[in-house]
Amino acid sequence: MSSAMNIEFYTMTLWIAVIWPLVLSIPSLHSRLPWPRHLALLPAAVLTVIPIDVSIEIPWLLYGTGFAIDGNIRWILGAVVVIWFAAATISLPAKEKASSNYSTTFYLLSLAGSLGVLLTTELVAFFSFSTLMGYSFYALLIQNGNSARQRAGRLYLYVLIVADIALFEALLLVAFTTEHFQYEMVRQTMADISSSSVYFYMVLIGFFLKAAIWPFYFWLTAAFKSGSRTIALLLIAGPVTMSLLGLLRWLPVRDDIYRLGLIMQLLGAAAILHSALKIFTSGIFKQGLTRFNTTWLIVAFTGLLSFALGTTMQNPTLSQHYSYIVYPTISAFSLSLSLLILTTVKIHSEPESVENRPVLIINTFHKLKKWLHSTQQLASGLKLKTLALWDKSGSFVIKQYQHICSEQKIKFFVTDWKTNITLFLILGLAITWLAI
Amino acid sequence: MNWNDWIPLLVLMSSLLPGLLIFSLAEENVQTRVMLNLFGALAKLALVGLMLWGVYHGHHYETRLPLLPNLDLVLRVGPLSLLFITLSTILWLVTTVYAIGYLEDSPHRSRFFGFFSLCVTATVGVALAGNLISFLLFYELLTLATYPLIIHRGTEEARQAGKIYLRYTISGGALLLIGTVWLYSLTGSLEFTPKGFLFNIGEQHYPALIGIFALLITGLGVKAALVPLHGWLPLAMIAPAPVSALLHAVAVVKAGAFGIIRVVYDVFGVEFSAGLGVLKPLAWLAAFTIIYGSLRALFQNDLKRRLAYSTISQVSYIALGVAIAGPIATIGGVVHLVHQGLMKITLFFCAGNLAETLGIHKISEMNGVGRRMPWTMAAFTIGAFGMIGAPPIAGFISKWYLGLGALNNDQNWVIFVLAGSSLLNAAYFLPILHRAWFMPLPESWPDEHHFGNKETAWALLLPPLVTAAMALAAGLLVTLPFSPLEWAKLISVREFYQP
Repeated sequence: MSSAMNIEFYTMTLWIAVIWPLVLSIPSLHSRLPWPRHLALLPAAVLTVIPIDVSIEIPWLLYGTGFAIDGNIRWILGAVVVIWFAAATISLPAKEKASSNYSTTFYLLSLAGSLGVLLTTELVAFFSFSTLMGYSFYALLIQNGNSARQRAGRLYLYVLIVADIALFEALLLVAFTTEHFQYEMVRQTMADISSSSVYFYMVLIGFFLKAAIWPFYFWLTAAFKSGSRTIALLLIAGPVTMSLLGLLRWLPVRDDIYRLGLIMQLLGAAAILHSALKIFTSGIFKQGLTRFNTTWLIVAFTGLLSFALGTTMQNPTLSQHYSYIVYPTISAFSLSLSLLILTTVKIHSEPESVENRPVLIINTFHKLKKWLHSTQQLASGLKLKTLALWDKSGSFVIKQYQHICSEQKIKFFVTDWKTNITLFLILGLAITWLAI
Repeated sequence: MNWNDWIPLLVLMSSLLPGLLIFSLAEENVQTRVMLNLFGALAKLALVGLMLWGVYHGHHYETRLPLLPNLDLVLRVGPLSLLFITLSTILWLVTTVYAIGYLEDSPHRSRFFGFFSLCVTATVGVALAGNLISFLLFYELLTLATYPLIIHRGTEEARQAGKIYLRYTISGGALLLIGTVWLYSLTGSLEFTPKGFLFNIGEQHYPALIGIFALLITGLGVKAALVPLHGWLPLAMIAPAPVSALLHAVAVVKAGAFGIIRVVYDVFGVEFSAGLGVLKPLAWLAAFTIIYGSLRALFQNDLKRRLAYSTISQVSYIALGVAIAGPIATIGGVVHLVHQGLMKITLFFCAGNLAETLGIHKISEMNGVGRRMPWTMAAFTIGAFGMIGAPPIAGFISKWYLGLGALNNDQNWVIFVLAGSSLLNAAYFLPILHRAWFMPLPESWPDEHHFGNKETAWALLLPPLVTAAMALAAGLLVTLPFSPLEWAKLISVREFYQP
């Protein structure tokens, strides 16, 4: 393929990555496909390995919009794809159930919203996709849930409505000031006007609520407490990560907002202290990591980010020096917490428990092997050597994995929290180091 | 008269003639009635398409027929009238398809479709009217054409609702007539003119003009359901669903709102109105209606009544946009004329589907209905989110321009009204969606009808899906040349702010 064709392909992938899950969300379509939740991630997965920065302009929404991917976004996209893939795998629905069709619809709408938020280049589209993600996530949160989950859903819904109204007001202020909605333009423009403080507070309220940053963490604890493992994973990959991203993209940059920076620092510090207190008084050393502790880890991290943002607002030179680290850090945070949830956190209210998860994993290996075998048959039928070779190497890898992850070993692996928290820290550090 | 002079009259005739023919048809002559209905709707659509192209390229269409000494019946096509005609024509076609399915085995269908066509004729006449007297004629014709539709079921409750409707609308019409006559006696003209025709009038007449403004707006406010003149609207919900859809989205309430736009911009002129000090009270009244309608909607268990109170609230956005009096708010108000129509007709179609298919009339009966009728409820969801103002559905665009217009005109209090309205809209629409999608299915429905393996009849299902898609497209593809927003911008520039 020529270079121009390559770029054409990349641009198309960018656009399809968002549209594809939306199309697949139609129940009569995804109910006819195998593994629709995984299929929906394919274009996004391809995007993560595209070697160049690409963008596309689309004449939609109020002032036209666009999608783009660069080095920073690729970090978060990678984490998002991995987490959504993991969530899709552990939540494989029974195909014949109508209720799982609806669950898949909301799952895919939420995914489309997240990818849209991530890849879009301007505020109005960000807001639109964020709304789509939020309401679809609400549906996921409460579907087939008990009263605790319904309550968590209600809390999340209230938060969502208030946050969206605040962000809408912020958008109006932007529109009142400028007709350019690209992130950088807005951050610069809103820094120079007198109504910047109102804008700042609206953005702060909107995203603090959506990202569950202290003191608005109450909905997160309720959702985490009542939701399934899938919900816990998607909470991180969806509302929390995307709202942190929103905070980074919407907040204005200026050097005379010492007071506002201080507010963020104070809130961040309070979040960290409060979380630390909660984690250490919750019997972590006796009980290991529970979903309660994990929630507070999230609150601590979002607080840390708030503190860091507040610091850079007081001293913009810091922002210039360390801005490159922010995206990989968020990415590392999301991945690490997801790993923690997948391997350690005790979840009781979902069908698959810690005890039977190793069996599930091994079943997945069997399924994968069966699938590879069928592709090999197809490949030999079509006389495609590459596919056959791929199957052989795939089978070899699976064999090795099966050997390593014998049932006993997995059981040990998933229940030993010390091992996993070490892994969590190592992974976080490794990703941050790689980014730097 | 050349060809262009006949087109406005032809647009009127395209629904009037089929309507008159339908009256004469026997009840069992179903095919001819359907053909006549569809032929009229498609012919009107073709004519409107032609005019759209013409007006966009600067053509002028006007029919002038003598009516009274010095007063003609004027039918004039401008961007504003065309926007309203396009809306009513498209939605008439969709509603006709829906009504054919809805009234499949009902009695008195010839009577129904005859008055239905007359109702559309009157609405198009209201839109085309080039002066206040022509407007008044069609406005009154609309009252008379909709009354038989409201009492169509023939029940005592329907007749009672019809009586109240007549009381309100005839009183409103009388006030409008008094205002019109007073204005004519004062100025000697009733011709709609961009920027109004009163700017040369002496200051000694200002108190009289304020009185005339109050009379005209009160007369129009009855149909636009401004509080406290809204009492007829929730009662009129007794009418069949296609009538409710047409009343709320195209015909009656929109005629009132459209009239308010005409009076403020083409009779008084926006700057002159602002100078008279009449726009602020109108803005406050509209804001109060927005909040009041939403609050009342919150406590209704009857689905159609909740939608009716929602209409009372939403139509006042149009009056609010006009009263804010700036180019951007004008865009918001005018575009909401179309957007509210698309969203509200979707909601009423869905309410009709639920009633016809499952016998559901109350919100408390809607548990799990999303699983039984997913396409209908998907359309309802789009309509409801549009009403809340969620992007990228049409309602978001309206709220955007209204809010921006308010900021531009230093009327920041409007932002709080919009935020409060969004909050209340969410409070009364989201519980419905929650019930429909997430509550367990009941053991049985109040009155279930089966349509094979489909959730309902195609003629009932297709219209809400089409209008929901249009509401979505109107929000998503706003930058296209013929989108309602681009048309509203054109109106703002051509009719109100061109030197």
